[in-house]
Formats: sequence, C-alpha cells, structure tokens
Amino acid sequence: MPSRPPQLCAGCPHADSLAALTESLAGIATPVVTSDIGCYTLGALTPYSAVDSCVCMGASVGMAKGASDAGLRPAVAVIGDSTFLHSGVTPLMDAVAANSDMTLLILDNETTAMTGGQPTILPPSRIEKLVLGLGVDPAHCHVITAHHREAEANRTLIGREVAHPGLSVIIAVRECIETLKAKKKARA
Amino acid sequence: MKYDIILAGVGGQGVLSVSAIIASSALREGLFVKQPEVHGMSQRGGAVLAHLRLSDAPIASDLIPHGGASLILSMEPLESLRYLAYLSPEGAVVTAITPVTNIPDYPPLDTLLDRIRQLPRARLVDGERLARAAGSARATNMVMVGAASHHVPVPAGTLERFIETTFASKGEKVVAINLAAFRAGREAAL
Repeated sequence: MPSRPPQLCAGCPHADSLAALTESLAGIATPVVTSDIGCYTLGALTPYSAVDSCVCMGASVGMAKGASDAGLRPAVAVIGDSTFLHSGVTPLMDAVAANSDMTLLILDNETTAMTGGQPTILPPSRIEKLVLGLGVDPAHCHVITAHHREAEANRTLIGREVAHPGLSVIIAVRECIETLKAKKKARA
Repeated sequence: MKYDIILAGVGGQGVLSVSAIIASSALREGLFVKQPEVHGMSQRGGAVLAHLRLSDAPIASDLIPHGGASLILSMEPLESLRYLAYLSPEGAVVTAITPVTNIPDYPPLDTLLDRIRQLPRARLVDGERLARAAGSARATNMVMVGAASHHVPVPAGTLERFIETTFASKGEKVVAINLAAFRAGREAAL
C-alpha cells in the first residue's frame, strides 16, 4: 500500500528555506540538523529529508547546542517563528552565553501555520531585535527572504554562517501562502 | 443498533464535512455518536481518516475496532483500500473513482479499481462527474454522502437538512449545488 504523507503546500516558503539549507550542507559528511514542531517538520520526510529531529516545542535549539558542545558539528537548529517565540528564546539565550558553535535558522512565515494561522506573539519585524537583544553578534545575525529567487544568495549565506565557528542566527522571512490567500480572500 | 463508518480521503476533499453532516444528522435522529478524526492534513494532501460511530445505545470507545466497520466511505479509490482492516466481513465499501495522484508510487488506476471491484460489497461511484453535472467538482464529497445514504441509518431528508445548514453561509447557489450532488449520488447508487 503506497503511503500518502502530508506535504508542504505548493509555493510554501519553508520548501525554499529547506532546499537552501540542504544544498548549503551538501558537501558536509555528518551535519546535525535538529528541528521542531510546525509545518516545517514535514522537512524530515521525502523529498526534502532536510531535518533529523522533532521532539518538543523549542527542543531544536537546545539539542543543536548540546550536539555542538559534544563535538557534533556543524549543528543547525531549524525552528518556526511561533515555536521560537513559544520556547526557543530561552535555549538561544543559553547558546549566546556559551557562544556555542551552531547556527539557528528561524523560518518566519509570520503566522502559526500548522494549527490554522493564529497570530504569533511578536510581529516578524521584531524577531531580529529580540535576537540581537539576547546578545547575538550582529555580524552573524541575518534576515533573508525565503524565496527560490534568492536561492543562490541564501545558500551562500547559510553555508558561510554554518562554517562560522560561533553562534549565528538566520531569519528566513516570507508569509505563509495559506495566510496570504486567506487575507486576499477577505479583502475581495 | 450499531453502525460504524470509516471515512477516508485526501486532505482537501471534504472528509471532515462529510463526517460532520452524517454525525449531526444522526444526533438529530436521537442516535449516540462518537467521531474522532485525523486533522491538520487538510491543506497538505495527506491521507485523512475519520471514525464515525453511530448507535442507539451509549458508545464506550471513540475508535472502531478492526473488523468492526459496517461501511468504508472514501472520496478517493486508493484511500478506500487503506483501511480495509477495519471493515467487517459483512461491511460495504462506497468509493469515488477519481484518483488523487500526489504521490510518486500511485498504482495503475485499472489495477486499483479492479481490486476494489473484487471486494464483496463494493460500490464505485463517478463522484467527480456527477458533482460537475450538479454544478461543481468540489461537491464530490456530497455525491458520496448521497451514494452512502442507502447504507447509513439516517433518513435522506435529515442528511439534506444538514447539507443545507453546513453550506448556508456560502449562499443559496452553493447549497443548491450540494443538494443536487447529494441527490445525484443517491440515485447513482440505487
């Protein structure tokens, strides 16, 4: 019986971010990519096979820090904006304190998509300020656009920050296409 | 009286609307109802399953046991076979025949439909064609409710009433299309 797993929607920004991440890690033998709970958890399945773990909300950040501290590098954590705001901030603070060699990729689709598009605690424009406020080095905190048009630039940036021997945070922003559709429909 | 239904389909096909309409109708008829479901797949093309248990006596468990379902009602042919373990030896399968081929290893359609035809009480319905004729392919799920209405222990009139309630907020035209779809399905499965 062929299985029919759920898939990311056609045009989903996460698909572009996951593709950029996977391509940027292509030459590395054993990267550790921890992830979290949201639509992007589907990135564990084919065709993406981009992330390795899903434990509980916020776990990706602490797990990547732990992996890095234990010598498993490069360590990358992939978390959505609302999950990050829910329980990813505290472990990031821990990573800042230790200047752990890891990269945090925040997939900011400006909503809580998996559960139907509820608003997040902070609007996306404030996530970067929050991250910088925790003490992340501004030279290693970037906001990028999660779109395949930016694929090459995103790939290069992610690759560079993964190689950086310290903490880096990349916030990949593009609104959830379902939320966008719902907004357009409401306006019409 | 106990009547257990496995509702199957792919995200976006309206399995949960089907479930809600039959469940509300059964409640109106004074039956006891339990209805757990797999949700969250709706936008993402994954397999969707709902258990719907109807009885004239209180129901202890939310879930249908393997071999216990009187009916598998499926919006898609491959999905009609996915939950066969739940079907009772006397149970019926009512399924739409239009495939949703959003997976790389979808079996050849002829093989699949033949396999369904080999089941002892299978009814294959061209739900999409009937729904289009009724006014919208999106009403395929209501064609399937109509096709299943001969099996489900709820009067057709009550189902129609809850189809009206369900689609009322979308306007008269949508209500009319869905009622026409229901009737077409009911007639096709006579």
